[in-house]
Amino acid sequence: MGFVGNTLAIVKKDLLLELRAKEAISIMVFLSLLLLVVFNLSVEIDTENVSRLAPGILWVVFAFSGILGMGRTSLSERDDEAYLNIYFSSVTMESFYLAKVISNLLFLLLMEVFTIISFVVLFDYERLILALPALTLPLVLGSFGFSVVGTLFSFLSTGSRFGEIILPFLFLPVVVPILLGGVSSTDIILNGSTGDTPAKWLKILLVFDLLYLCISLILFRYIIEE
Amino acid sequence: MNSMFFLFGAYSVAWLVVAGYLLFNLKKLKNVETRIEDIEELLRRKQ
Amino acid sequence: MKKERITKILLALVLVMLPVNFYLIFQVAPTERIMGDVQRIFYLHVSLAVSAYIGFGVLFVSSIIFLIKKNLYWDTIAFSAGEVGLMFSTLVLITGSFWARPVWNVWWTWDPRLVTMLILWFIYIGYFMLRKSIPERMKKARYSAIIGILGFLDVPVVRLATKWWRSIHPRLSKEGGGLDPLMIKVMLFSLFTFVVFTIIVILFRFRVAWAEERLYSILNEMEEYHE
Repeated sequence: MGFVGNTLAIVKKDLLLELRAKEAISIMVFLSLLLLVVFNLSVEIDTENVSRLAPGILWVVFAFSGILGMGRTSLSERDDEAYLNIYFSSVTMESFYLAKVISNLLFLLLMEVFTIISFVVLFDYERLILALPALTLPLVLGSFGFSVVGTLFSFLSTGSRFGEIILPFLFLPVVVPILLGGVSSTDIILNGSTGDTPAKWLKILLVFDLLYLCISLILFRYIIEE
Repeated sequence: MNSMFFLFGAYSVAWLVVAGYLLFNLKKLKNVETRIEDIEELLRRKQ
Repeated sequence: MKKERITKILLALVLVMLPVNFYLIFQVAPTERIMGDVQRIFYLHVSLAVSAYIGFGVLFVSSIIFLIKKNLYWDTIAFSAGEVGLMFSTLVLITGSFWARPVWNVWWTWDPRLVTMLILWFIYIGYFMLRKSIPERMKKARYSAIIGILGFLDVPVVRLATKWWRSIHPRLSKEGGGLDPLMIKVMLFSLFTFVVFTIIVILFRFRVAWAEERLYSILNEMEEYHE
Protein backbone atom coordinates (compact mmCIF):
# COMPACT_ATOMS: atom_id res chain seq x y z
CA MET A 1 0.00 0.00 0.00
CA GLY A 2 1.29 3.43 -0.84
CA PHE A 3 1.49 6.50 1.38
CA VAL A 4 -2.10 7.52 0.82
CA GLY A 5 -3.35 3.98 1.25
CA ASN A 6 -1.50 3.52 4.51
CA THR A 7 -2.66 6.83 5.84
CA LEU A 8 -6.29 6.18 5.04
CA ALA A 9 -6.06 2.72 6.56
CA ILE A 10 -4.87 4.16 9.86
CA VAL A 11 -7.55 6.83 9.78
CA LYS A 12 -10.16 4.13 9.27
CA LYS A 13 -8.73 2.14 12.18
CA ASP A 14 -8.79 5.21 14.45
CA LEU A 15 -12.34 6.07 13.52
CA LEU A 16 -13.51 2.50 14.12
CA LEU A 17 -11.75 2.41 17.49
CA GLU A 18 -13.28 5.70 18.48
CA LEU A 19 -16.72 4.65 17.34
CA ARG A 20 -16.47 1.77 19.75
CA ALA A 21 -14.66 3.38 22.68
CA LYS A 22 -16.00 6.89 22.27
CA GLU A 23 -13.33 8.13 24.66
CA ALA A 24 -12.05 11.24 22.96
CA ILE A 25 -15.34 12.28 21.46
CA SER A 26 -17.29 12.00 24.68
CA ILE A 27 -14.73 14.08 26.58
CA MET A 28 -14.77 16.76 23.91
CA VAL A 29 -18.50 16.92 23.58
CA PHE A 30 -19.44 16.92 27.24
CA LEU A 31 -16.68 19.33 28.16
CA SER A 32 -17.77 21.78 25.48
CA LEU A 33 -21.32 21.67 26.76
CA LEU A 34 -20.14 22.20 30.32
CA LEU A 35 -17.92 25.10 29.30
CA LEU A 36 -20.82 26.83 27.56
CA VAL A 37 -22.87 26.57 30.73
CA VAL A 38 -19.99 27.83 32.86
CA PHE A 39 -19.46 30.73 30.48
CA ASN A 40 -23.04 31.80 30.83
CA LEU A 41 -22.90 31.58 34.59
CA SER A 42 -19.81 33.76 34.75
CA VAL A 43 -20.43 36.11 31.83
CA GLU A 44 -24.08 36.93 31.55
CA ILE A 45 -24.95 36.36 27.92
CA ASP A 46 -28.10 38.06 26.67
CA THR A 47 -29.54 38.97 23.30
CA GLU A 48 -27.59 42.22 23.33
CA ASN A 49 -24.08 40.90 23.78
CA VAL A 50 -24.38 37.38 22.36
CA SER A 51 -23.24 38.50 18.92
CA ARG A 52 -20.13 40.12 20.29
CA LEU A 53 -19.24 37.32 22.67
CA ALA A 54 -20.07 34.28 20.51
CA PRO A 55 -16.89 34.12 18.39
CA GLY A 56 -14.56 34.33 21.39
CA ILE A 57 -16.49 31.88 23.54
CA LEU A 58 -16.85 29.36 20.73
CA TRP A 59 -13.18 29.31 19.82
CA VAL A 60 -12.02 29.10 23.43
CA VAL A 61 -14.34 26.13 23.92
CA PHE A 62 -13.05 24.55 20.69
CA ALA A 63 -9.47 24.96 21.85
CA PHE A 64 -9.96 23.61 25.36
CA SER A 65 -12.23 20.69 24.55
CA GLY A 66 -10.13 19.99 21.52
CA ILE A 67 -6.82 19.73 23.26
CA LEU A 68 -8.11 17.58 26.08
CA GLY A 69 -9.74 15.22 23.57
CA MET A 70 -6.63 15.04 21.43
CA GLY A 71 -4.57 14.19 24.48
CA ARG A 72 -6.64 11.05 24.81
CA THR A 73 -6.02 9.81 21.29
CA SER A 74 -2.27 9.55 21.72
CA LEU A 75 -2.74 7.85 25.07
CA SER A 76 -4.43 4.86 23.48
CA GLU A 77 -1.39 4.45 21.30
CA ARG A 78 1.02 4.59 24.20
CA ASP A 79 -0.83 1.97 26.20
CA ASP A 80 0.77 -1.38 25.26
CA GLU A 81 3.09 0.72 23.13
CA ALA A 82 0.84 -0.06 20.19
CA TYR A 83 2.53 2.57 18.10
CA LEU A 84 5.78 0.61 18.14
CA ASN A 85 4.15 -2.00 15.92
CA ILE A 86 3.69 0.71 13.36
CA TYR A 87 7.37 1.52 13.67
CA PHE A 88 8.29 -1.94 12.50
CA SER A 89 5.72 -2.18 9.74
CA SER A 90 5.91 -0.68 6.31
CA VAL A 91 3.92 2.33 7.38
CA THR A 92 6.05 5.44 7.59
CA MET A 93 6.11 7.85 10.52
CA GLU A 94 4.72 10.56 8.32
CA SER A 95 1.80 8.41 7.30
CA PHE A 96 1.06 7.54 10.91
CA TYR A 97 1.20 11.17 12.00
CA LEU A 98 -0.92 12.42 9.11
CA ALA A 99 -3.53 9.78 9.82
CA LYS A 100 -3.70 10.88 13.45
CA VAL A 101 -4.06 14.49 12.35
CA ILE A 102 -6.93 13.63 10.03
CA SER A 103 -8.80 11.52 12.58
CA ASN A 104 -8.32 14.20 15.25
CA LEU A 105 -9.55 16.78 12.76
CA LEU A 106 -12.73 14.81 12.21
CA PHE A 107 -13.31 14.47 15.94
CA LEU A 108 -12.75 18.21 16.37
CA LEU A 109 -15.19 19.12 13.62
CA LEU A 110 -17.79 16.83 15.14
CA MET A 111 -17.33 18.47 18.52
CA GLU A 112 -17.50 21.92 16.97
CA VAL A 113 -20.75 21.30 15.14
CA PHE A 114 -22.20 19.94 18.35
CA THR A 115 -20.97 23.00 20.26
CA ILE A 116 -22.48 25.35 17.70
CA ILE A 117 -25.83 23.63 17.89
CA SER A 118 -25.71 23.73 21.70
CA PHE A 119 -24.82 27.40 21.58
CA VAL A 120 -27.79 28.16 19.34
CA VAL A 121 -30.12 26.29 21.68
CA LEU A 122 -28.72 27.60 24.97
CA PHE A 123 -28.45 31.22 23.95
CA ASP A 124 -31.22 31.50 21.39
CA TYR A 125 -28.78 32.70 18.75
CA GLU A 126 -30.13 31.47 15.43
CA ARG A 127 -27.85 33.62 13.33
CA LEU A 128 -25.09 31.16 14.12
CA ILE A 129 -26.81 28.25 12.40
CA LEU A 130 -27.66 30.36 9.38
CA ALA A 131 -24.01 31.38 9.14
CA LEU A 132 -22.79 27.79 9.34
CA PRO A 133 -22.06 27.38 5.60
CA ALA A 134 -19.98 30.55 5.63
CA LEU A 135 -18.22 29.36 8.76
CA THR A 136 -17.12 26.07 7.21
CA LEU A 137 -13.82 27.41 5.92
CA PRO A 138 -12.71 29.06 9.18
CA LEU A 139 -13.76 25.97 11.11
CA VAL A 140 -11.91 23.56 8.87
CA LEU A 141 -8.75 25.66 8.58
CA GLY A 142 -8.69 26.45 12.28
CA SER A 143 -9.39 22.89 13.38
CA PHE A 144 -6.77 21.57 11.01
CA GLY A 145 -4.21 23.82 12.68
CA PHE A 146 -5.41 22.70 16.11
CA SER A 147 -5.05 19.11 15.02
CA VAL A 148 -1.59 19.47 13.52
CA VAL A 149 -0.18 21.07 16.66
CA GLY A 150 -2.35 19.16 19.11
CA THR A 151 -1.51 15.74 17.71
CA LEU A 152 2.23 16.41 17.78
CA PHE A 153 2.16 17.90 21.27
CA SER A 154 -0.08 15.18 22.67
CA PHE A 155 2.54 12.61 21.74
CA LEU A 156 5.16 14.79 23.42
CA SER A 157 3.22 15.24 26.62
CA THR A 158 2.04 11.67 27.07
CA GLY A 159 5.69 10.66 26.92
CA SER A 160 6.51 12.77 29.93
CA ARG A 161 5.99 12.23 33.62
CA PHE A 162 3.41 15.01 33.97
CA GLY A 163 1.41 13.48 31.17
CA GLU A 164 -1.56 15.25 29.69
CA ILE A 165 -1.50 17.94 32.38
CA ILE A 166 1.22 19.78 30.55
CA LEU A 167 -0.56 19.59 27.22
CA PRO A 168 -2.79 22.72 27.35
CA PHE A 169 0.18 24.71 28.58
CA LEU A 170 2.29 23.73 25.57
CA PHE A 171 -0.59 23.91 23.12
CA LEU A 172 -2.36 27.19 23.80
CA PRO A 173 0.51 29.69 23.34
CA VAL A 174 1.47 28.11 20.03
CA VAL A 175 -2.06 28.17 18.58
CA VAL A 176 -2.67 31.84 19.43
CA PRO A 177 -2.64 32.74 15.70
CA ILE A 178 -5.42 30.21 15.11
CA LEU A 179 -7.48 31.65 17.93
CA LEU A 180 -7.01 35.15 16.58
CA GLY A 181 -7.76 34.04 13.02
CA GLY A 182 -10.73 31.91 13.95
CA VAL A 183 -12.33 34.47 16.25
CA SER A 184 -11.77 37.36 13.86
CA SER A 185 -13.13 35.60 10.79
CA THR A 186 -16.11 34.27 12.77
CA ASP A 187 -16.74 37.74 14.11
CA ILE A 188 -16.71 39.27 10.64
CA ILE A 189 -19.01 36.57 9.28
CA LEU A 190 -21.49 36.95 12.12
CA ASN A 191 -21.36 40.67 12.72
CA GLY A 192 -19.95 42.16 9.55
CA SER A 193 -17.21 44.74 9.70
CA THR A 194 -16.10 48.01 8.19
CA GLY A 195 -13.45 47.27 5.62
CA ASP A 196 -12.23 43.93 6.96
CA THR A 197 -12.87 40.62 5.21
CA PRO A 198 -12.59 37.09 6.52
CA ALA A 199 -10.19 36.37 3.65
CA LYS A 200 -7.35 38.16 5.39
CA TRP A 201 -7.70 35.94 8.45
CA LEU A 202 -8.20 32.78 6.45
CA LYS A 203 -4.87 33.54 4.84
CA ILE A 204 -3.15 33.55 8.22
CA LEU A 205 -4.85 30.27 9.13
CA LEU A 206 -3.71 28.74 5.85
CA VAL A 207 -0.12 29.92 6.32
CA PHE A 208 -0.07 28.59 9.86
CA ASP A 209 -1.54 25.25 8.78
CA LEU A 210 0.90 24.70 5.93
CA LEU A 211 3.92 25.84 7.93
CA TYR A 212 3.14 23.67 10.90
CA LEU A 213 2.10 20.67 8.83
CA CYS A 214 5.41 20.63 6.97
CA ILE A 215 7.50 21.06 10.10
CA SER A 216 5.52 18.58 12.17
CA LEU A 217 5.80 15.94 9.45
CA ILE A 218 9.56 16.28 9.69
CA LEU A 219 9.73 16.44 13.48
CA PHE A 220 7.26 13.69 14.41
CA ARG A 221 9.69 10.84 13.91
CA TYR A 222 11.97 12.27 16.61
CA ILE A 223 9.28 11.60 19.17
CA ILE A 224 8.87 7.97 18.25
CA GLU A 225 12.44 6.90 17.63
CA GLU A 226 14.29 5.59 20.64
CA MET B 1 9.34 62.90 40.64
CA ASN B 2 7.08 59.95 40.11
CA SER B 3 8.33 59.02 36.70
CA MET B 4 11.95 59.03 37.90
CA PHE B 5 11.02 56.25 40.30
CA PHE B 6 10.01 54.13 37.32
CA LEU B 7 13.13 55.00 35.36
CA PHE B 8 15.53 54.03 38.14
CA GLY B 9 13.26 51.20 39.20
CA ALA B 10 13.43 49.63 35.75
CA TYR B 11 17.21 49.83 35.50
CA SER B 12 17.67 48.63 39.08
CA VAL B 13 15.39 45.63 38.70
CA ALA B 14 17.02 44.66 35.41
CA TRP B 15 20.56 44.85 36.67
CA LEU B 16 19.80 43.26 40.03
CA VAL B 17 18.21 40.28 38.30
CA VAL B 18 21.07 39.92 35.83
CA ALA B 19 23.72 40.31 38.52
CA GLY B 20 21.88 37.84 40.74
CA TYR B 21 21.69 35.34 37.91
CA LEU B 22 25.38 35.67 37.12
CA LEU B 23 26.42 35.36 40.77
CA PHE B 24 24.17 32.34 41.28
CA ASN B 25 25.75 30.61 38.31
CA LEU B 26 29.25 31.58 39.40
CA LYS B 27 28.64 29.90 42.75
CA LYS B 28 27.23 26.82 41.02
CA LEU B 29 30.24 26.65 38.73
CA LYS B 30 32.65 26.78 41.66
CA ASN B 31 30.76 24.04 43.51
CA VAL B 32 30.61 21.75 40.50
CA GLU B 33 34.25 22.25 39.57
CA THR B 34 35.36 21.60 43.15
CA ARG B 35 33.35 18.40 43.23
CA ILE B 36 34.84 17.24 39.95
CA GLU B 37 38.34 17.92 41.22
CA ASP B 38 37.63 15.99 44.45
CA ILE B 39 36.31 13.00 42.55
CA GLU B 40 39.23 12.99 40.14
CA GLU B 41 41.61 13.19 43.12
CA LEU B 42 39.80 10.21 44.69
CA LEU B 43 40.06 8.17 41.49
CA ARG B 44 43.75 8.98 41.15
CA ARG B 45 44.42 7.82 44.71
CA LYS B 46 42.57 4.56 44.10
CA GLN B 47 44.96 3.89 41.26
CA MET C 1 42.72 27.91 22.68
CA LYS C 2 40.91 30.03 20.16
CA LYS C 3 37.62 29.88 22.00
CA GLU C 4 39.20 31.12 25.22
CA ARG C 5 40.74 34.05 23.39
CA ILE C 6 37.47 35.06 21.77
CA THR C 7 35.68 34.80 25.12
CA LYS C 8 38.29 36.98 26.80
CA ILE C 9 38.10 39.60 24.06
CA LEU C 10 34.32 39.70 24.24
CA LEU C 11 34.41 39.93 28.02
CA ALA C 12 36.83 42.85 27.91
CA LEU C 13 34.71 44.50 25.27
CA VAL C 14 31.57 44.16 27.37
CA LEU C 15 33.24 45.46 30.53
CA VAL C 16 34.16 48.62 28.63
CA MET C 17 30.95 49.00 26.68
CA LEU C 18 28.54 48.69 29.57
CA PRO C 19 29.71 51.76 31.51
CA VAL C 20 30.06 53.70 28.27
CA ASN C 21 26.51 52.69 27.43
CA PHE C 22 25.28 53.95 30.79
CA TYR C 23 26.99 57.25 30.24
CA LEU C 24 25.45 57.58 26.78
CA ILE C 25 21.96 56.73 28.00
CA PHE C 26 21.91 59.05 30.97
CA GLN C 27 24.17 61.92 29.96
CA VAL C 28 24.39 62.09 26.19
CA ALA C 29 20.95 61.09 24.98
CA PRO C 30 18.61 64.06 24.84
CA THR C 31 15.46 64.20 26.95
CA GLU C 32 12.30 63.31 25.10
CA ARG C 33 9.96 66.24 24.73
CA ILE C 34 6.67 64.63 25.71
CA MET C 35 7.56 61.73 27.98
CA GLY C 36 10.55 63.19 29.72
CA ASP C 37 13.39 61.21 31.20
CA VAL C 38 11.28 58.07 31.64
CA GLN C 39 11.72 57.49 27.93
CA ARG C 40 15.30 56.43 28.69
CA ILE C 41 13.90 53.09 29.80
CA PHE C 42 13.60 52.40 26.09
CA TYR C 43 17.29 51.93 25.54
CA LEU C 44 17.21 49.17 28.11
CA HIS C 45 13.83 47.72 27.15
CA VAL C 46 14.49 47.39 23.43
CA SER C 47 18.02 46.06 24.01
CA LEU C 48 16.67 43.43 26.40
CA ALA C 49 14.14 42.41 23.75
CA VAL C 50 16.89 41.91 21.18
CA SER C 51 18.82 39.90 23.77
CA ALA C 52 15.77 37.73 24.42
CA TYR C 53 15.37 37.00 20.72
CA ILE C 54 19.06 36.16 20.38
CA GLY C 55 18.70 33.64 23.20
CA PHE C 56 15.73 32.01 21.54
CA GLY C 57 17.37 32.10 18.12
CA VAL C 58 20.36 30.21 19.49
CA LEU C 59 17.97 27.74 21.14
CA PHE C 60 16.23 27.25 17.81
CA VAL C 61 19.38 26.61 15.80
CA SER C 62 20.97 24.42 18.47
CA SER C 63 17.80 22.33 18.72
CA ILE C 64 17.87 21.64 15.00
CA ILE C 65 21.55 20.72 15.09
CA PHE C 66 20.92 18.47 18.08
CA LEU C 67 18.17 16.52 16.31
CA ILE C 68 20.52 15.96 13.40
CA LYS C 69 23.72 15.16 15.28
CA LYS C 70 22.27 13.66 18.48
CA ASN C 71 25.15 15.17 20.44
CA LEU C 72 24.14 16.43 23.90
CA TYR C 73 26.60 19.31 23.50
CA TRP C 74 24.04 21.03 21.29
CA ASP C 75 21.19 20.37 23.66
CA THR C 76 23.23 21.96 26.44
CA ILE C 77 23.81 25.04 24.33
CA ALA C 78 20.11 25.08 23.54
CA PHE C 79 18.81 25.10 27.09
CA SER C 80 21.53 27.48 28.29
CA ALA C 81 20.59 29.98 25.62
CA GLY C 82 16.91 29.34 26.33
CA GLU C 83 17.34 30.07 30.02
CA VAL C 84 19.17 33.30 29.29
CA GLY C 85 16.50 34.21 26.73
CA LEU C 86 13.79 33.52 29.29
CA MET C 87 15.47 35.75 31.87
CA PHE C 88 15.83 38.61 29.39
CA SER C 89 12.28 38.30 28.13
CA THR C 90 10.98 38.40 31.71
CA LEU C 91 12.90 41.64 32.13
CA VAL C 92 11.47 42.96 28.86
CA LEU C 93 7.97 42.47 30.22
CA ILE C 94 8.85 44.05 33.57
CA THR C 95 10.67 47.06 32.15
CA GLY C 96 7.83 47.47 29.67
CA SER C 97 5.40 47.78 32.56
CA PHE C 98 7.69 50.27 34.29
CA TRP C 99 7.58 52.38 31.16
CA ALA C 100 3.86 51.99 30.48
CA ARG C 101 2.68 53.01 33.95
CA PRO C 102 4.00 56.59 34.08
CA VAL C 103 3.48 57.24 30.37
CA TRP C 104 0.14 55.61 29.60
CA ASN C 105 -1.16 55.19 33.12
CA VAL C 106 -1.59 51.43 32.67
CA TRP C 107 0.61 48.52 33.67
CA TRP C 108 0.03 46.62 30.45
CA THR C 109 -0.97 47.32 26.85
CA TRP C 110 -2.06 44.85 24.22
CA ASP C 111 0.58 46.14 21.87
CA PRO C 112 1.48 43.45 19.28
CA ARG C 113 5.14 43.45 20.24
CA LEU C 114 4.38 42.98 23.91
CA VAL C 115 1.80 40.27 23.24
CA THR C 116 4.29 38.43 21.04
CA MET C 117 6.91 38.61 23.77
CA LEU C 118 4.39 37.36 26.33
CA ILE C 119 3.38 34.41 24.16
CA LEU C 120 7.03 33.60 23.51
CA TRP C 121 7.61 33.75 27.26
CA PHE C 122 4.87 31.17 27.81
CA ILE C 123 6.29 28.93 25.12
CA TYR C 124 9.67 28.87 26.79
CA ILE C 125 8.23 28.28 30.20
CA GLY C 126 6.58 25.29 28.54
CA TYR C 127 9.98 24.25 27.16
CA PHE C 128 11.47 24.11 30.64
CA MET C 129 8.38 22.50 32.14
CA LEU C 130 8.62 19.74 29.56
CA ARG C 131 12.31 19.28 30.28
CA LYS C 132 11.59 19.01 33.97
CA SER C 133 8.96 16.33 33.38
CA ILE C 134 11.27 13.96 31.48
CA PRO C 135 14.01 12.23 33.48
CA GLU C 136 15.86 10.45 30.66
CA ARG C 137 18.60 12.66 29.27
CA MET C 138 18.27 11.92 25.56
CA LYS C 139 14.48 11.91 25.53
CA LYS C 140 14.45 15.21 27.41
CA ALA C 141 16.72 16.69 24.78
CA ARG C 142 14.77 15.33 21.82
CA TYR C 143 11.34 16.38 23.06
CA SER C 144 12.36 19.84 24.17
CA ALA C 145 14.17 20.37 20.85
CA ILE C 146 10.83 19.90 19.11
CA ILE C 147 9.23 22.57 21.29
CA GLY C 148 12.23 24.82 20.76
CA ILE C 149 11.88 24.58 17.00
CA LEU C 150 8.11 24.93 16.79
CA GLY C 151 8.01 27.69 19.38
CA PHE C 152 10.50 29.86 17.61
CA LEU C 153 8.73 29.49 14.26
CA ASP C 154 5.52 30.56 15.94
CA VAL C 155 6.92 33.99 16.74
CA PRO C 156 6.51 35.67 13.32
CA VAL C 157 3.03 34.22 12.90
CA VAL C 158 1.95 35.44 16.34
CA ARG C 159 3.46 38.84 15.56
CA LEU C 160 1.56 39.12 12.27
CA ALA C 161 -1.71 37.88 13.70
CA THR C 162 -1.63 40.20 16.71
CA LYS C 163 -0.68 43.13 14.51
CA TRP C 164 -3.72 42.53 12.30
CA TRP C 165 -5.88 41.92 15.35
CA ARG C 166 -4.81 45.17 16.92
CA SER C 167 -5.56 47.13 13.78
CA ILE C 168 -9.23 46.26 14.29
CA HIS C 169 -9.19 47.40 17.89
CA PRO C 170 -7.03 50.48 17.78
CA ARG C 171 -5.81 51.60 21.12
CA LEU C 172 -2.89 53.48 22.53
CA SER C 173 0.24 51.91 21.14
CA LYS C 174 3.71 52.62 22.35
CA GLU C 175 5.91 54.59 20.02
CA GLY C 176 9.23 53.20 18.91
CA GLY C 177 12.52 54.89 19.73
CA GLY C 178 12.71 58.62 19.25
CA LEU C 179 13.24 60.19 15.87
CA ASP C 180 16.09 62.31 17.16
CA PRO C 181 19.27 61.18 15.34
CA LEU C 182 21.31 61.28 18.54
CA MET C 183 18.76 58.99 20.20
CA ILE C 184 19.07 56.57 17.31
CA LYS C 185 22.85 56.50 17.71
CA VAL C 186 22.60 55.81 21.44
CA MET C 187 20.00 53.13 20.74
CA LEU C 188 22.29 51.41 18.23
CA PHE C 189 25.16 51.46 20.68
CA SER C 190 22.91 49.97 23.37
CA LEU C 191 21.82 47.24 21.02
CA PHE C 192 25.40 46.43 20.09
CA THR C 193 26.41 46.38 23.75
CA PHE C 194 23.62 44.02 24.65
CA VAL C 195 24.28 41.69 21.75
CA VAL C 196 27.85 41.21 22.98
CA PHE C 197 26.63 40.99 26.57
CA THR C 198 24.08 38.30 25.69
CA ILE C 199 26.71 36.22 23.92
CA ILE C 200 28.96 36.40 26.98
CA VAL C 201 26.15 35.44 29.35
CA ILE C 202 25.12 32.48 27.16
CA LEU C 203 28.74 31.30 26.92
CA PHE C 204 29.05 31.54 30.69
CA ARG C 205 25.79 29.72 31.36
CA PHE C 206 26.88 27.03 28.91
CA ARG C 207 30.15 26.62 30.76
CA VAL C 208 28.25 26.01 34.00
CA ALA C 209 25.83 23.61 32.31
CA TRP C 210 28.59 21.66 30.61
CA ALA C 211 30.50 21.33 33.88
CA GLU C 212 27.34 19.87 35.42
CA GLU C 213 27.05 17.44 32.51
CA ARG C 214 30.62 16.31 33.10
CA LEU C 215 29.94 15.85 36.79
CA TYR C 216 26.82 13.77 36.18
CA SER C 217 28.51 11.59 33.61
CA ILE C 218 31.42 10.93 36.00
CA LEU C 219 28.96 10.10 38.78
CA ASN C 220 27.02 7.78 36.46
CA GLU C 221 30.20 6.01 35.43
CA MET C 222 31.12 5.51 39.07
CA GLU C 223 27.70 4.07 39.84
CA GLU C 224 28.11 1.58 37.03
CA TYR C 225 31.55 0.65 38.37
CA HIS C 226 30.16 -0.18 41.77
CA GLU C 227 27.60 -2.57 40.38
